[in-house]
Amino acid sequence: MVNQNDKELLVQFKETPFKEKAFTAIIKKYQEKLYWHIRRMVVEHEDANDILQNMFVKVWKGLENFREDSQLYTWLYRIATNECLTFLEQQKRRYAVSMDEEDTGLTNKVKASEGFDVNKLEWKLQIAIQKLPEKQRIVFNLRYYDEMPYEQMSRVLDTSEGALKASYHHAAKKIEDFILNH
Amino acid sequence: MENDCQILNQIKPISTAYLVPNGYFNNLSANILVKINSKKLTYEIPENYFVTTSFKILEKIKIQSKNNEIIEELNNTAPTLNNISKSGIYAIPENYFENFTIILSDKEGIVKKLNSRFRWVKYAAAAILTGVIAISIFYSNTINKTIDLYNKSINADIAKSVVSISDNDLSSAIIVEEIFFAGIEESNLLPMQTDVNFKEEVQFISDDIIETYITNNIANENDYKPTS
Repeated sequence: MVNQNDKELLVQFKETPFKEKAFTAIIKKYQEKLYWHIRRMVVEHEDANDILQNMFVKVWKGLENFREDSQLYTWLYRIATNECLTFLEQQKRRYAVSMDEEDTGLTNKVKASEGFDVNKLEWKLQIAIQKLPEKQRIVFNLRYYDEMPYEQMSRVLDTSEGALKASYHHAAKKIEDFILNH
Repeated sequence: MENDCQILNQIKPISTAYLVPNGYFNNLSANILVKINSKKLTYEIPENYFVTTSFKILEKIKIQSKNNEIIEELNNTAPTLNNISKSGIYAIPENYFENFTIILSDKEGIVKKLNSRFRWVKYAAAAILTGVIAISIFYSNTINKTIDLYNKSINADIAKSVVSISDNDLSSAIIVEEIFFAGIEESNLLPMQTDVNFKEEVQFISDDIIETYITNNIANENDYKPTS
């Protein structure tokens, strides 16, 4: 079921005179949510901005053929998530680091963030999140921050609801342990 | 009854004393509707407000119950996480979202073409490199085989030559060589080579005399062995 507003925007997008206007409205509607989803994955603003730009360019190209049997919101999250994973993969290859070292790299990026305070719970939470494996991190962020229902997450990540629940449970446990022991 | 009728007849002209505008009653219903509509207009509502309101209320209820579900879920596994603020702690540039624009340049097509050309060049370069390596390996193997063949043929020639020499000639040659160098230290050998007088003297000795000398002294070869 497509959200009413999204449906209208999609119809407008397919009519040439309103195409750009409708696209701008889609950006305005989703930019903030998608930005934070990406930012929590890659930590640095410049990287998040590049990924957001790239993903919206892809959306512009693909929206014409977008099938309305899936939600626009779900589709956008799917593109954003894939772009994040591609970016992290490229980073790994560029700096030839292993998974563990890559996590350390993201942790260091968190520590280098403006206003970082090791004693604040919010920052501890960010470090704990960066220590999770990529897929688990995505699941945790989508559920904890975006409060996405498992049913929607299942469509974004192509994973069964049961597996997502288990993954979120493990992630939350690991984060809690890290926060309590550091 | 008659009296009543009289009274009414008397009142009639008085009642007409209250004047009403022309067609007042004809337009009354229309005027009332205009007033009703104008009242409506004083409080503007968004388009499709009544259509979307129920939808929005339902959305709010859903969000509320979703939040509760997420809080409940964490209460069971990681309660500490329910006490942490979820507000963004990462800094972002001022007015980032207000100024966020996507650059959909026309040059994208060109970039794509360049990409596809580069991809072709990449494959071509890889093919050339593979060819060069294959040819190098082939030539390297061929050269090694040629050198081996050459060495084998030389060895075969030497072997043939050696076979053609009689055993006596060979043993004499070896013995002469051993006698000549036996017991002569390297330090003594050098002045002999440079000794001009010795060379001049040797020139005057005939080959026959030297040959006779060598033949006579073969038996005493042990005398020339170096003393340890």
